Amino acid sequence: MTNAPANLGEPILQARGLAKSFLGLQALQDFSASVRPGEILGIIGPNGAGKTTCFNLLTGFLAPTAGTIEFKGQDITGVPPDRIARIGIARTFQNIRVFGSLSVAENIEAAAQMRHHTSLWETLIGGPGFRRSEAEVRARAREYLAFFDLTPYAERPAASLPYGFQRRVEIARAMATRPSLLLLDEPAAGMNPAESDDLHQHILDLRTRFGLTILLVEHDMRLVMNLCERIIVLNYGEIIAQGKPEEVRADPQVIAAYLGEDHSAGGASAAPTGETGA
Amino acid sequence: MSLTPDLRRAAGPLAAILGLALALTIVQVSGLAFWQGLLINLGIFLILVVSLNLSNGFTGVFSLGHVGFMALGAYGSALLTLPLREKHDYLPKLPAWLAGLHFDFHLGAFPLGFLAATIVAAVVVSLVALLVGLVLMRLSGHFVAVATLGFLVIVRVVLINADDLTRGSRTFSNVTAYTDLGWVWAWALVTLYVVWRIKRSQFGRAMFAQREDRWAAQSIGIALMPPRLLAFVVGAFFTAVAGSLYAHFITSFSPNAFYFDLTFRVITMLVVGGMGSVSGSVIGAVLVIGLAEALRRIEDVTLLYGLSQIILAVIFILIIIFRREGLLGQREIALDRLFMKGGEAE
Repeated sequence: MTNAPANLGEPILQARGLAKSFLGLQALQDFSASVRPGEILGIIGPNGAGKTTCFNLLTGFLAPTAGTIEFKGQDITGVPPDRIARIGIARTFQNIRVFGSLSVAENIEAAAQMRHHTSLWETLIGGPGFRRSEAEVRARAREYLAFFDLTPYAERPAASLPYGFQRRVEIARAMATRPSLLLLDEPAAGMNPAESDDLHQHILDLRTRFGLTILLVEHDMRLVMNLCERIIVLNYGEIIAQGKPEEVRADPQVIAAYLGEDHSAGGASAAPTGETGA
Repeated sequence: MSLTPDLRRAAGPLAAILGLALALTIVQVSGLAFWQGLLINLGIFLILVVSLNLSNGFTGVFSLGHVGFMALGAYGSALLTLPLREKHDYLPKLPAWLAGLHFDFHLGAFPLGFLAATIVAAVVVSLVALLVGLVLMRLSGHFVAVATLGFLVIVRVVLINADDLTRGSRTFSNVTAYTDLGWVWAWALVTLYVVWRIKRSQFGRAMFAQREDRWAAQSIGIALMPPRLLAFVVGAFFTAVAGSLYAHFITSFSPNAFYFDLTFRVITMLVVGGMGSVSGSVIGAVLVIGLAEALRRIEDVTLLYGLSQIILAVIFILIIIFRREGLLGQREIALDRLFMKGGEAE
């Protein structure tokens, strides 16, 4: 475990009784959680356990069937995703979604411009307001490119970069909106142990530098267990355990969910990998 | 050189505009009717393809209905500039307020009425586009193509049946021939300027971002409808302007002029040049117009009529197969960097 949660004040995010069903399939039910500012909270569970559904609910890409979400004391249930982004929740996606044919710099600029608005008229005449805001957007994008070591690739189309770099572009893009809460959906997918260690350090740096709160969905157990201060375990759309990593790791229900009922007594061999179907 | 960066930035476009002005003046003065006609045609298509690029290329919402806006712009502006006597003779059943309307005011020799008629028609068409867009821009992919094609068909049916206003399927004629090289290319430059500005701004980035990935765009605070609607409505405005220029160039036309044939031609230019590239659109328009003209001469000699359309269609198919992004993709030939030093591009 690294730093303790920086701040034990009011929760920054509070979900109460969230539920989502798709045509009768209960993808998530009675999901309640509160996230403290500065915390790194992990959400784990086998495939199909409802982790991504949970992220999509929290970021407005899906509307919950029941339950409420509060962000900084404000009810954000059912608010559309672009407005959720504007009030300070950013995310990445499990299947990488970079703007493929745009350059890496343009990817970041598109996000950095969120907090700079210029009127259409000002844009058309190319007036001082337009110039100032464009210069600011570009400068800010350069900052994030540098922070994520992407400067050498700034002019390349995002789709031409290797997988790991595209993930980095996605995180840089999310950060360029200057969020207070960041949701990372499997950021370590496809990474080797060295790259995942790198990512670990990067996430810690992000939190320190930007005072960020982080929610993490991840299958890489080493990363989750080392990085997160608290973990929520989902299975079949329900929370089956939550607590500190060592508590969760020892929970018989968690072991059962990952290794199957039959192995719950003796299966000490494998660490949970999340590869079991659900 | 002691020029400021701003001046050097402006030098490229200025040189291009001066060169264009010089060429146009020579052609205008020379009295070579063929070249005048060709360049007017080119200018009108340039406006059409650049404004289509704004809505289709920038946002990826592929509209097939833009020529419908052109038709509305043509009929709308022609109704405003048609002399009262012609209105009385050809369109006896016009509503009274329209029958008495004639935009023929001049500022010295300058036909201000034509400018006003063009702008009024284009604004009205933009409002139509706003209403249509509010419904259709929610769609994407094939759905939007089919729905906007439906719009094109509806416009045609309305024009044919609104006998009192349009003479139906008969020719709408005796429109004053205001359009000349100056008008067309002035409007073409305005269109290029506006679309170029939009591309290199927050609005353009929002359009391209939601074209690339709708979810990712929303996740960084970009709502889908505003950039799409902006592109659609501004595109419709300039398309209507092109319609007005066209109407006052050929002076007589019927609803058939604004249909699949024209739609296909503009889309070919767009795809050849590259979806998302303004300079690509210019190149696409020049190539297709030039090629069509050359092929037409071959037709006249060989008597193989229709050959030009077949060849254009084949080129279109080849581009789709072998170079889907078109000649330029979404890259630009940046005139403002022409006279700039290495480090100044920021």
